[in-house]
Amino acid sequence: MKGWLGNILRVNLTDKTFRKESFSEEFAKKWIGGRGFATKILYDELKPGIDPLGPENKFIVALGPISGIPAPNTGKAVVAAKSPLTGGYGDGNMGTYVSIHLRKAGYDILIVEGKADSPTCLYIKDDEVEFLPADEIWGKGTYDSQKWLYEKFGKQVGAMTIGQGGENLVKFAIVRSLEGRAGGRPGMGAVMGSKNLKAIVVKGTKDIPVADPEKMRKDGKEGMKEAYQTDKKIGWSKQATNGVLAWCNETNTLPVRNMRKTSHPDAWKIDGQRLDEARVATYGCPNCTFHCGITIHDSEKRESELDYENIGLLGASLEIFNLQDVGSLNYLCDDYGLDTISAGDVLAFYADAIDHGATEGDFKFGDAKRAIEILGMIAKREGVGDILADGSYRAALKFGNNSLDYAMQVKGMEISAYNCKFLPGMALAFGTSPIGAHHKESWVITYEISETPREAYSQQKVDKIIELQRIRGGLFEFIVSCRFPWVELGMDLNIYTKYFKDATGIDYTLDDFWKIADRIYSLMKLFWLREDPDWDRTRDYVPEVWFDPANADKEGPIAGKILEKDKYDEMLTLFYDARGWDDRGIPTMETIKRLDLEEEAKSLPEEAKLK
Amino acid sequence: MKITVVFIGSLINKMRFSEKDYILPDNSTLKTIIEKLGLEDYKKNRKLILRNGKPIKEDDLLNDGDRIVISHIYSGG
Ligand code: SF4
Repeated sequence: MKGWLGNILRVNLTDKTFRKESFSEEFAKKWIGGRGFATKILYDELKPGIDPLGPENKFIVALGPISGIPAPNTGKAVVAAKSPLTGGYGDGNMGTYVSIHLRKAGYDILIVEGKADSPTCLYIKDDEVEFLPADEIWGKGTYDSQKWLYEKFGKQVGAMTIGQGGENLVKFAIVRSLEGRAGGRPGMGAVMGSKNLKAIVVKGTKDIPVADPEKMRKDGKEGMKEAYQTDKKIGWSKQATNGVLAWCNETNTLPVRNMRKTSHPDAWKIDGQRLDEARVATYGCPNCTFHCGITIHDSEKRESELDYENIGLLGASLEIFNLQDVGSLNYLCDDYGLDTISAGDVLAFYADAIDHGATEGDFKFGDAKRAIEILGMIAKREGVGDILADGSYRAALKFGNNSLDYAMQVKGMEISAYNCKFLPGMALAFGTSPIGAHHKESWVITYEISETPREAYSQQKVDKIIELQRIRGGLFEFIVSCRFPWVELGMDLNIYTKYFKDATGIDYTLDDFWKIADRIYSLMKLFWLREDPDWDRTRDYVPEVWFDPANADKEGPIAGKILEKDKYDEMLTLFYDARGWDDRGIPTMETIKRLDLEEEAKSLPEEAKLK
Repeated sequence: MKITVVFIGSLINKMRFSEKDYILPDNSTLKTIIEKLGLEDYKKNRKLILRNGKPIKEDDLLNDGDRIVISHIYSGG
């Protein structure tokens, strides 16, 4: 086997043991890597109903056949586990040198099982594994923890760590790496915390064997150069992801005031131009030639790396239009190891719930000082922070008073920074995202606004959503690479079939990749079904407030417009039909056969029968 | 007629403004303004143009008060 190392490192924290296992070429060809490996392993190895924060859950780092190889933006890793936030399969894709070092240590996959009896730093050095005490950094934020790791192991390692959020089992705690990289929105940091696993450090020194080393080197180098030159020409990284904020404000898709409003006159104060002007440094992931991590000084003069999602939700959605204050909220999320998207949505939900009398409290939209305090309470699970630490869905169930209607989440995971109250296609993209609402799976807003009637609930939009799910949620998640060379710079997708062939020697077409993407999406649905045999299509619905005419914009270009539930439901049927899923949104037997998932389907309980 | 041109993203640096009003003769089209701004290559450079939040073609007539937004083709990061 070339491209893949063919090895899994399985570590057990309970009894401090480890072993190297191999996987077959058939497994590699069927699941490719990253999300594909993680979904398959978690489906096979986790018993349904286990506690995501119990020792039975498994924390996985999964890489792909081009991970760690110099080619555009390949310094990414997938972290995965059963999600404590949603109860389904959960994962995240993060920039980290772990991707390079784990592969150089000889592994494509790391599986961490059990629970350590005290705070632990897992140190992997080629074939050796050490279980080191991490008491010194337990209770510390990710910046101090990272510093400690660098002092101990040097900078030539890959390292991941969690903050107080993960330690205290905040259900939207993430994993952190490097200066500003984070991943694992569905609570992957909490899964590490539940295992007393404070950090993972990897040092690999071996070569990664590929099928055609010379061609891989040449193609990879050319791709990195093309990415660099294209970015210079079109200037994307000048404002990077936050360029979109001003555009969202213009097109009435900005999340303002817990997504009750779609634009704001002060939005310019936190837009891409202001961010670029405030820039003090720029950071990025390994193997990337157009770093997008624009970093500013926050209100305490600390470096804070911001992107659109952070600013959209910790800024606009909270009606905080001061970049330094947004920087502080973002810095604290990063330091505590909290997902900025969920944190922003949860804080906005709390302010909204107080506004609507669902609960009592002293937090108001626009109050940056109190937002900072509440973030700390969430990370430490103090006072109301203990309720909010479970995410907006569970908090809404506690508060009651119909507050679930405006908890901006799908399947328990908070919605990324796009207000879809009058965007049927993007609403459906969030609704059908298989891990809960996440923009990384499919993003159709530009298409929806510029190439279709915005108000349409059409097959055309459904087809686009699926096309993008296959690329974004499929290809980039199983090949494990940053999607930005394609999505933002417009580079040809066929470079990935080329790199794949250079690395593995296997001639897959993009259509082969789409079939694998469909297989993974369908297996994720089986994972949900096995957890909840009563699964039904309402789990793919977006929050009620987006269907509520009383919540339509009162003025501006989309005044009076709101999503229509019956039409959304019809479009959901079109989506299920196109995917070969039944009216619950579960793959049909025919689809299971077409995607070679018959073995997996056997473990479904009797009452969750496939149609 | 008066129309407003808004730039979003790195074009601000190139054009050296983010928002400007233009007085144009009647019967002006989007093409008129594209040529005035020297942005004939906008599609090649991955730029998108919207009028009042909606798509617009190059031959479409402009109306008094139109807001023309020229941006990168955003793709959701
Ligand atoms: S474009 Fe940004 S997210 Fe992608 S690899 Fe580069 S720095 Fe990382």
